[in-house]
Amino acid sequence: MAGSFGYEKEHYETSMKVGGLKLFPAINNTGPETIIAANGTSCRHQIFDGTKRVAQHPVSILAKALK
Amino acid sequence: MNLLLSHLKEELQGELKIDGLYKSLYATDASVYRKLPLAVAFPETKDDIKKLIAFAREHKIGLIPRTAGTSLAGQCVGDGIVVDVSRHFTQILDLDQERKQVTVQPGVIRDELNLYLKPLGLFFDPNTSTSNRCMIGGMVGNNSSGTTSIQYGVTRDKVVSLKTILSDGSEAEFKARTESEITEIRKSDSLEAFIYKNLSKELIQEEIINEIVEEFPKPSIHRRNTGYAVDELLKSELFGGKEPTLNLGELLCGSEGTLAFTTEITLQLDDLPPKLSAMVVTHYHTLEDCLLDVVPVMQHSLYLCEMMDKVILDCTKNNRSQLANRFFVEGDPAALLMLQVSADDEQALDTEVKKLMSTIEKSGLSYANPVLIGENINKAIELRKAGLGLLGNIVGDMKAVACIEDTAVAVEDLKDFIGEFTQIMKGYGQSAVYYAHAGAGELHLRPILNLKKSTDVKLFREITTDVAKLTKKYKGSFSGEHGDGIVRAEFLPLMIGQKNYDLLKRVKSYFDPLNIFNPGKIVDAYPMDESFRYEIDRKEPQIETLMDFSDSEGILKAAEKCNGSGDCRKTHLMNGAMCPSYHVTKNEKDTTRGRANALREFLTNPDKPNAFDRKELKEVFDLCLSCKACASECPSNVDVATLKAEFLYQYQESNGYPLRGKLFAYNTALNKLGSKVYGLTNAVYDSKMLSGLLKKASGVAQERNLPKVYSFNFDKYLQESRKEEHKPRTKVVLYIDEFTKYLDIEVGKDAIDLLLGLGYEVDLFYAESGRTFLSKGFLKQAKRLVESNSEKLYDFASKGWPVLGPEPSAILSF
Ligand SMILES: Cc1cc2nc3c(=O)[nH]c(=O)nc-3n(C[C@H](O)[C@H](O)[C@H](O)COP(=O)(O)OP(=O)(O)OC[C@H]3O[C@@H](n4cnc5c(N)ncnc54)[C@H](O)[C@@H]3O)c2cc1C
Ligand code: SF4
Repeated sequence: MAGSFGYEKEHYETSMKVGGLKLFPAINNTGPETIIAANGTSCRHQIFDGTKRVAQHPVSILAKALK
Repeated sequence: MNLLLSHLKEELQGELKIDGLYKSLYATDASVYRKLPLAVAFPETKDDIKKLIAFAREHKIGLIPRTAGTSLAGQCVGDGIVVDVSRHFTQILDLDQERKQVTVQPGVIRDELNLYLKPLGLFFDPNTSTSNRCMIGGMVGNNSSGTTSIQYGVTRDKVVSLKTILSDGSEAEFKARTESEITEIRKSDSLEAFIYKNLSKELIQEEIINEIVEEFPKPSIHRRNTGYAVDELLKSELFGGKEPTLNLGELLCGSEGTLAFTTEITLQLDDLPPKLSAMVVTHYHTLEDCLLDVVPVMQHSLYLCEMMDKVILDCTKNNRSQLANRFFVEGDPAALLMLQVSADDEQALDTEVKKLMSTIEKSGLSYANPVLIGENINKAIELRKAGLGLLGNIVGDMKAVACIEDTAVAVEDLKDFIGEFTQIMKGYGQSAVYYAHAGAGELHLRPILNLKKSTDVKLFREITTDVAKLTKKYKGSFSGEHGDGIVRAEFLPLMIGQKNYDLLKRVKSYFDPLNIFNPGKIVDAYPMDESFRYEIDRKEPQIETLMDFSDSEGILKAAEKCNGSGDCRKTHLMNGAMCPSYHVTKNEKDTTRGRANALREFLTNPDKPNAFDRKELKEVFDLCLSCKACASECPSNVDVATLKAEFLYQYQESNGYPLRGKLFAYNTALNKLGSKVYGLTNAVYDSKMLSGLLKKASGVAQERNLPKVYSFNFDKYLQESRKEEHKPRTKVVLYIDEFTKYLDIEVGKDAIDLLLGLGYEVDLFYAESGRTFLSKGFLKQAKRLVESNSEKLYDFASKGWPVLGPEPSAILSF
């Protein structure tokens, strides 16, 4: 996504194609039990748009583990 | 000419670019040279190439074949039409497992070919340092090789057949032909027949054969790229050699696109190397001892024989990531050799190591000989590779330039050759660095010069001339693997004698009588001290910037750091992230190199007072995601994200700030507003129709959901979550940035929970980072924020409080 880049209408397609090369297939190849971690806000947004999977900030994963 | 070119454009299936942007992108390769081409073509079919050839013949212009453009000697620089086959000629066409042969188009990347071959247990060896982006067409053009050539040979040794289009547009396949096949070909009146007839006439003459044998580099030097390889043809029975066939493909290897246009290449493959390896690293007190030892160790079947000297080793001392890879270095060696043996089982490997060790002990020249296995070998190789990069990173106009970096001599001559070489360099006040392929008699030596100055250009010629003469004295090859290009071609008469040089000129005329294929290379070459990237003794353009580029001595020099090595042309199949926009488009304009080249070109030759005010620059920066992968992955540390921010700012100062840019840049202010009435805002965002209208008006992709905004009181949350019973250990400051504050509140809450849970005392620091301004080129606004933030950050830092934040893009804005 890279911040606003992937929101912009003329860049949307490029942005999804970049995701489609490596990131989305890697996530799609994991089962639902796999936790997806991504620390950038627009990265998590992009992962959701490309795979419909919710990615968590590592901080959230650690906070849950501590509880 | 432009009218003619537009006609041509209509005839071609592929693109033909005649605009200033593409000309500037294709004016350079990885050498020190630059010439603006007439146009750049991206042929889609063989028919396109034939049309380009017909056009070139008719209008007497040159065609410069090109794949990745990583040539170091200026092979891809010329003023005709650059014909880039890296975009459409990228197929692996056929695999013959029985014969272990593969047929590819010229635009197949070397490492990607090997990725495809690996499951079959096969590989194509020649491993240039550029193997993750260089292409087979270019490897054939330059007869490339790499560290393992001592075991497997060079590209020429692997070429079974080349299908080509000749300079009259006819097609010809060059492969091992028997005498009767050649007789048959010679019966026709084709250009192919003409070539065979004339070459045969030349190479049966005893006088010509003797001249070649006498004057060409020693055949024991397996890396020979000096002129056309007519010496290789003498292996054929037809010309007094032992081989029953004649393969003119060998002549095309290393011909740098000057003889024919290659469309298909069949390669002989090897079985993957043995699984087990060991590396003996021999340490020496003197450079001479090291070079002397190359001769005996090369009697063994080595897979690597690479050298590093003290200068390069010292470079790795100050580099954090390389320190760990120095684990095997004992004492302070003047030089060391990395000798690798391989075998399929432990016992065989053990025998190999013992044999090698006994040779080393017998010569007694080294003082330490540690043996590395497994992962440690890779670490040592990493160290050897990194040394080069570290050496190349010099700030400013002095650069380690390629001119004499490719000499190869017989290994038994290496010590004496280097002795004299050192004397020559001393005479020029240059301190030499010795490293690379000792086992192949080839060391990559580069003087450090400023080619913007006429005094240094003079030295460039003098040093090159002196080293050419020295190489001739030892019957060495002035080019081992990088090719003659522009920089070395001039010296061919000296290297092989005038008579042989005249022969090469005749060879060229048999293939290409009108001189349309890559003119100015190998024969009738361009002068080696003209057409540089920079105008000599120019007045340095003064370019004001808002951001601080002083660590590169200004923004122009920040762009000039790119040396064209093309690391940014690797695709997503390789390691690393650079450059994502190129991964998708495969267009040179979307590489880090393309962006740096265009910026250099337009800042150097401005057409308006604001040099940044160019549509072309807008086009090259458009798809940069500002991901910053290049800042760390580019070996020359070109940081396009920063260049882009400055460009956008300067461009918008002249052209105004567009509405959407403003919306994104001032997004935080909008979110702040929206969060006050977040129920209403989110209802609008949720409503398909209303958010659709909003997106349309603001140029946001309809497919995207607008992120919801929130209003949340983190202070209160922190207050309530603090647990009295814990005695806090250390104080940390949690930075609540604009994204965490309005959009990602859950992450902010989790961060508070985590830090409190771990027993920290937490203070909150709210600030807008300036990221949205930075990415939209609103630099003044960004600067104001960053300055006020730095004051607060300084305050925390002086109290010794660590500042933590969850959102990387916000933190990186500081
Ligand atoms: C940092 C760095 C390290 C390097 N290390 C090595 C190394 O270890 N070993 C080594 O051998 N080289 C090395 N090189 C040089 C270069 O990378 C190699 O020569 C590489 O094989 C060139 O491939 P390319 O795809 O970039 O070819 P290009 O540079 O695009 O072209 C090379 C030549 O082939 C011709 N050509 C291309 N396609 C065709 C075609 N279809 N028909 C006819 N002619 C054609 C071109 O006209 C040109 O003359 C290095 C270069 C750099 C920048
Ligand atoms: S910052 Fe731009 S040029 Fe650099 S790797 Fe990312 S997209 Fe490519």
